[in-house]
Amino acid sequence: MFSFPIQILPADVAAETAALNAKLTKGISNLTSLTDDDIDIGSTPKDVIFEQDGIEVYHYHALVEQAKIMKTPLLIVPPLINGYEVADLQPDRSLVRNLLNEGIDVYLNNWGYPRPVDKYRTIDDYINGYLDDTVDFIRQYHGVDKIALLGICQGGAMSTTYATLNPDKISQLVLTVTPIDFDAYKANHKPHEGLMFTMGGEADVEKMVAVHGNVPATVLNESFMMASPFILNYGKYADVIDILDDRTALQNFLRMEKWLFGGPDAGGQMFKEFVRDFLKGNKLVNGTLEVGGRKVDLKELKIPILNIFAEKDHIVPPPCTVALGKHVGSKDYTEFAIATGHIGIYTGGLSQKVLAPTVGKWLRERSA
Amino acid sequence: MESNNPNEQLGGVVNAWADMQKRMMSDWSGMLQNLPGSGTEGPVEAVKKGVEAATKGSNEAARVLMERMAGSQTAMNRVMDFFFRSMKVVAPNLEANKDWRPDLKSFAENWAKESTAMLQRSMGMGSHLGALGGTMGKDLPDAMGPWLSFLMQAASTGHVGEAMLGGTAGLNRLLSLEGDPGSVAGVGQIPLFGASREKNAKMLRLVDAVTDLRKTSLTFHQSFAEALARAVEATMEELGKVSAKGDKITAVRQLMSLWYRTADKSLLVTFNKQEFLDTQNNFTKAQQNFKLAQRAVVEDIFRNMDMPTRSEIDEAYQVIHELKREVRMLKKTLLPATTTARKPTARSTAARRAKSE
Repeated sequence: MFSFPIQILPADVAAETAALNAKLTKGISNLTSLTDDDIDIGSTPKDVIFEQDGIEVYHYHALVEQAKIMKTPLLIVPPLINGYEVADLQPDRSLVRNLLNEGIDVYLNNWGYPRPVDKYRTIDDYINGYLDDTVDFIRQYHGVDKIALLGICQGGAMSTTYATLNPDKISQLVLTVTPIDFDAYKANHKPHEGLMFTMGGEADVEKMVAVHGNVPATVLNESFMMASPFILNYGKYADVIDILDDRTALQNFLRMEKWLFGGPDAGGQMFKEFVRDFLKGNKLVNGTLEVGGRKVDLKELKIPILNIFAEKDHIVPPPCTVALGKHVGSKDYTEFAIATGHIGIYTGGLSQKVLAPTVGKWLRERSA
Repeated sequence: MESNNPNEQLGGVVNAWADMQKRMMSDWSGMLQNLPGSGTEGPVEAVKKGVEAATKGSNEAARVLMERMAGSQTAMNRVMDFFFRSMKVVAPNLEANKDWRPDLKSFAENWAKESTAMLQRSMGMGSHLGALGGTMGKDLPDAMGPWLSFLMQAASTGHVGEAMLGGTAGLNRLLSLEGDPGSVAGVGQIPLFGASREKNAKMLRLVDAVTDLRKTSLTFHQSFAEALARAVEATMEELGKVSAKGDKITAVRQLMSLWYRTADKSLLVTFNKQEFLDTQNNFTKAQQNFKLAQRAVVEDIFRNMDMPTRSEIDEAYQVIHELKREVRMLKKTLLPATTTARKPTARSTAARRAKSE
């Protein structure tokens, strides 16, 4: 006979409630004493060196002596649909800071927050316009012919496209959790993997953009949270009680929340084209992608590539990332796996020790 | 003292859950006395207000966190309620050593029907139209007023259907045009008045969109209720595994955690099914159609008031975008990149935010 395992006694409930309330009392004290400055994100010192239509290019201050800095600078290309701060969440969880410590000269393209007037920006505008302007500016500013690119998620797909079209400007390409083949997860599909792609593939994006203009960040967040609806919507906030009395842990939690819910809206036309061409059409791997009238042929991507993926990534499942190896013309193609998730690759403890050193070593080996 | 009777255990758990809520409320009310702004709401809601008042806008993240905790607590209670109610159905069967699945299935069907009926009551056509009228009356009182007043008066001497279909008999009477048929005969048929037919057709399309939204919403919520029932079934299986290992669940949060983890896994299976995806998409499309139909009506009103419409603003945006693009390309052709550079500054680069439309 099935023996019912729930044995919750009134005395246990009283003790549990008392413990929770003790944590909450301390937690409220912590919450009320924190200010916005205590929960800053993207705080690594930097200069704004180029600005165009609300898009800013940052040059980060060096953290090692000049002699140790690599000659080829690295431009980080974040996704258009998330804040750049994921690469610089807090001082002890910062890809940017770790790359600086590796002796890399780091630039970052902050796409900013598209306004209603920006809803007509196309993928062509972003890649052949703004990204190209940024790359040209850094090349001149830094006095080099070529720079290296590091793409984050969607920014990786854009970097791949850009590097394919501009082999004369890019020396190395580093990709992190980048979707390349949007269908690759469907073989041996597990329910928790690629749900955003599955749902995005079904969505009427034309109509969505007609209604919203720019697609609100909240809509994108909701689809992200569908991957674990109860835990991300309820469980997480029940569990936060456990860390409310720990000021540092609470600050870390709030920084992540700030990044997660403070992201930009997705520019309407860009989003429509990205879903149509990259996600639904899978044109990057089918060889049918055209940007600004130029065909994007991955076989022409012949520069050194470091493709880093997260083994537990359910947003961009690893097969969607590593598919790149089958399509590129590069003879110097390296894959590197980190045992973490899609966000953990930037903010997780393990990644802080592994990601930047791997990128640093790989770049140094290929540095001019 | 421990009990092996599932009925007693479940009763105990439900009481414990209620007791936990009560205790927290009681403890918190004392604790909150020193915080400004707290009232008699639920505990998290009260703390939310207290934190807001105490931080006085200096900590946006804390305010947002409390808002999310308050929101999630309400939703969490509903989810736990579903779970406990379904477990109460299962428990007697366990006690009698009977298969509990048929009763759980039946409970889920009833729950879906109950939810649907509840939604129907709260989302009936009358309330939708009421809400629609309220929204328009509240958000656009000046703009809507004259037009609605026209419609009502035009229909006041005819009937509403006549006016909605573009009939102008009521309007003619209102303007006393019928008093002198010789001099003004046919005025009601000139194109200007004919345009009202088009406007009213837009209003009817909006009503259709509301009806469609209601139908698809109910179907979606029914699918979701069925998915939740399958999640309970999966949770029962997990409890079986806990029992088989000889383990026990002795804390409310332990039970919540098991339910959430298991439910998430089960829901993901449903979310990937084509049938669910279709239902979800139909609901989403109906929401979008409603928004577009609503905009068509609102734009007519704005045009009548000589105010710029969303479509007109969009056209202007498109022109600005194309001009910016041309300027960018011209600059690139004519000027070296460095001339457009900013002088490096060490200014703070806190992200600027623009709200969506």
